[in-house]
Amino acid sequence: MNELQYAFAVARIRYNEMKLLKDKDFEQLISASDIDEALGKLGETGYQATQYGDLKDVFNKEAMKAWSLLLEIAPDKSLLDVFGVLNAFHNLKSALKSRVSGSDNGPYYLLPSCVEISLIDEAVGKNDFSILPEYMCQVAQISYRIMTENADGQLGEAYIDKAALDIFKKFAEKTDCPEVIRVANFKCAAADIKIAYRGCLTGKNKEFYDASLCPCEQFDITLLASAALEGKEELLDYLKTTSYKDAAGLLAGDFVAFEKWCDDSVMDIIRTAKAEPFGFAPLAAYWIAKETELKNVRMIMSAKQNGFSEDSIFERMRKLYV
Amino acid sequence: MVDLLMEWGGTLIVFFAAAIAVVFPGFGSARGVGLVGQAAAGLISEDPSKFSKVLILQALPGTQGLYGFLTTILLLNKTGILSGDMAPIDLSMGLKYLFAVLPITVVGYFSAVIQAKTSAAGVAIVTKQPEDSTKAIIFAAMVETYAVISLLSSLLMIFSIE
Repeated sequence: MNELQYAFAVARIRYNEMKLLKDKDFEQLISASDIDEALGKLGETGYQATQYGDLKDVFNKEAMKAWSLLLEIAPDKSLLDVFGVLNAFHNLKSALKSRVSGSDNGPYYLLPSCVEISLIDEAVGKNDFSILPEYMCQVAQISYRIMTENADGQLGEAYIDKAALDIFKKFAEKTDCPEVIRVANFKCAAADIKIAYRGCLTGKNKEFYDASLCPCEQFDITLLASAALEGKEELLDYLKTTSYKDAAGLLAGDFVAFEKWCDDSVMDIIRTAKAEPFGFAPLAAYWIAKETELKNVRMIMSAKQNGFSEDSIFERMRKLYV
Repeated sequence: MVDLLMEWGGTLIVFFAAAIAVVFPGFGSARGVGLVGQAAAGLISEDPSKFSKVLILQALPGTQGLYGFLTTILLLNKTGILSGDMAPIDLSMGLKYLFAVLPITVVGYFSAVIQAKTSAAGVAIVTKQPEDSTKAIIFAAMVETYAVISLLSSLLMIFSIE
């Protein structure tokens, strides 16, 4: 699609970027003495939450407001699927887990999802995965079989996660937007590192790594799996030989710091969209910026509720877009 | 046929030159004004108070179309077509006029499109720092320089043809 067709959309995005929370808004929230004061200050920024219990709904509403804006203005709405595909696979996983385990709580769904939740429910409920989109149909069938016949829920989930990352990268390529493609590749590599690290700590076998690691451009996943099978030190040594040597340093210390580094790296990639007057990148950047804002607000509110110090909150704050 | 072409071929070329001098810059301007209009509409749908500021940005890529039109008028006037005392123009003279309109034809088209992109980018400045909207206008107006140079070149060439 001609990127000049994005002129209208980008102008609206630029206006809405101004409504995103800024550093000083977050400083105010963090400086609040308790959760009630933080909720009051959050209310001043446009989030309408009167009590801590309401926050989940408020965050969902905020996310869907941003999503509706993107749906309204995007010249090609199908490109937005790249931001709903991981949630769609999460929803599939959640529905399958709920069905297999027979849990009373029901599945936990995430929005936005590029596959309607009702369709996922119907497919899982009727055990008819053919009604799902082509890219999800086979994945659902195989993971369901793994969960039921092999009775290995974790492997079934890993299979879905791997497929999700693979499809995420394909959708990113469809956007033809270099920033989005780089974000997808980075997220895939970061997910592989997380899987390898956690797998290494919990003593996972080769079959698990084969089912869970998604091929990525940055490193060889067979070498990553071999290193993870050998142990944590070997895994970190291997990462030091790749472009993810910063990740190795962080993993050696604190996993939370590694997760922050992942989010900050995504923000660094997408930040170039600030200077782009046309194209899909500003829309993608706005969505990622909104997700980051919600992640930060969620983290601050949770920290205030549990009485964490200001310093510990600042340490965990993700980089902002604006 | 050859005689007819020798006698009237130049006139036909002048008409062709007059046509392309107005068509290409005009097309570029229409594209450009449309593009900035989309960006401006995006902003105005969120904040109507910025209408006057973005209107200037939208108008800027429209000038190339006017330059093309001016060139056409002067060419038709110089060759007597507009005043009604048109004499047959020979082939070489016709070609001279054709080359004379090329600067505004080519530069007019491309500068309109490029200026529109700069103006549309300037809409972001008006959105986020309305107090700096003059800077956005200056950025876009810089592109105008080359449209003006091409107009002057074309006019100098048209008037230098004897």
